[in-house]
Amino acid sequence: MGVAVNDRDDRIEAEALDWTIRVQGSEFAEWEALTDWLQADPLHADTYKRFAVMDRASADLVRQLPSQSRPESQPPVSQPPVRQLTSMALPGRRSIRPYSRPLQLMAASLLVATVATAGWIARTQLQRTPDSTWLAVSTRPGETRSIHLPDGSQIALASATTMSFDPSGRQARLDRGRAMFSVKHNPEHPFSVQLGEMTVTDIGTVFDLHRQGPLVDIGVSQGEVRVVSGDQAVPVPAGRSLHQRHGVLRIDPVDRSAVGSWRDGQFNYSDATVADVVADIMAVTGASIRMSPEAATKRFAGLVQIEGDAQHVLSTVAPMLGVQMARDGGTWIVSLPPNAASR
Amino acid sequence: MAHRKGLIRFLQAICRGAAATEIEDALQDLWLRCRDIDTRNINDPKSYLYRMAQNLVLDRERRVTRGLLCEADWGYVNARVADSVEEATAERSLIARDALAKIDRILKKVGERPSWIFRRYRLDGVQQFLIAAELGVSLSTVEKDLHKVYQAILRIEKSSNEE
Repeated sequence: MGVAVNDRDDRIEAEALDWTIRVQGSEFAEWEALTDWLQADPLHADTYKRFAVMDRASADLVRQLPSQSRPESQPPVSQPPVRQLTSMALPGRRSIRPYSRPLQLMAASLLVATVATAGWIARTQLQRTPDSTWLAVSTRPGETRSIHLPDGSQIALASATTMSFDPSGRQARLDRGRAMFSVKHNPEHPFSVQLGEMTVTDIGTVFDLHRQGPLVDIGVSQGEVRVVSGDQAVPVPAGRSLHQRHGVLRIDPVDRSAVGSWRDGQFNYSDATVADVVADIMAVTGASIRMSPEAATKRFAGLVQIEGDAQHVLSTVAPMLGVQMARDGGTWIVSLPPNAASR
Repeated sequence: MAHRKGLIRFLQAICRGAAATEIEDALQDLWLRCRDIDTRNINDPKSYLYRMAQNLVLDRERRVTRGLLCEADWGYVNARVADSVEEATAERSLIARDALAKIDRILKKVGERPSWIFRRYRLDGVQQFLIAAELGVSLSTVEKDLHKVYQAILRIEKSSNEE
């Protein structure tokens, strides 16, 4: 046998193996392309069938083996993690502003559900995957992570954030934290994210979602999203943000370049509380912080830089929040100064 | 059946050299099995049909190859032990146990992470990019690991055939 024949065999085996692996993916749809390849050469079909039989048999066998636990995950990405994410395609970002300026900005997260519209969404509702098979992607305090979807869309997860996905990747959920989305819009399969009872659907967008307990923030930098919450359906275009706390929805203007600015360590708050800010400080620094009830519910609006260690962040942020801090072992205590007037 | 034309082409391509009547038989078989399925419960009816068509074709082929192959083993056992049911069952479980041990060795050899990724992808139906997100590794790591496992399985099958 000449070298040429072996090369051909190797090439065919490599291609057949590639097809075999791809076909087993739950979202495989290129049946016409596979047919074309099978028809191109008699050896293609023979090799493919041989591999397909092998694949099916080995899958059947592996199913019978005892289950395996997940291997240890990689150590968290080291600081400063957010820098890695600024390569995401977004409208021009302005340079970092001095954080003493009290801006009415909402770094909202985007939650949009257009349940009424696309048949795709209706279909996914019918085929709701049991929760037990969803997989969670979580970041630790101080860690950020990027998820690249096959269509080119990207999701940037902030620290202490958990998103859940059904295995096929069709349904997504923001359980807690912040996530910035840059979605390649597909009219037939719009990208949808659940936030509690709310659903957010993209209309070709760059948007940021924030969920912390009852608080939900949605900011749209580019395009538009549709938010469905209860019986309210609200479009949120670029330059607008939607804010929900305790069932009340509100729309405010937002600086488009400020949407998702947490990736540069800037956190924007409007109609927030000290507790909301402390939640983000804990997420980024991993510090343990307790608050007095009065301090926790104190209202706050403004732009805060959260970067570096807890000591540094708290000492710069505390004056802005109008709180004082103390140390109790490994925990920080945040409280109102003795003579603070209630606001 | 909306996908009839494409399915015929696919069946012809995969069963190269099959007569038109054989293709028709396969389609009939497929139709019978799918008739009662509630399509609303299927995410992607087209892929469902194609996968079923492929499996039907693989079932029909009498591939007597040794090694891991359960269906082939079963056919081999059937061919060899025509009348003795007990013997056939015993032999089948022997072959199955042997095959299980073989695949277990393969998985241990490729390593913990590739093995886990294979199960996540092949058995749990998790998309590769999600496996990558779940583990905190890159997509290319997942692709390489999957490739590694499939290659290892293939090598065993190949060497068994050469026995």
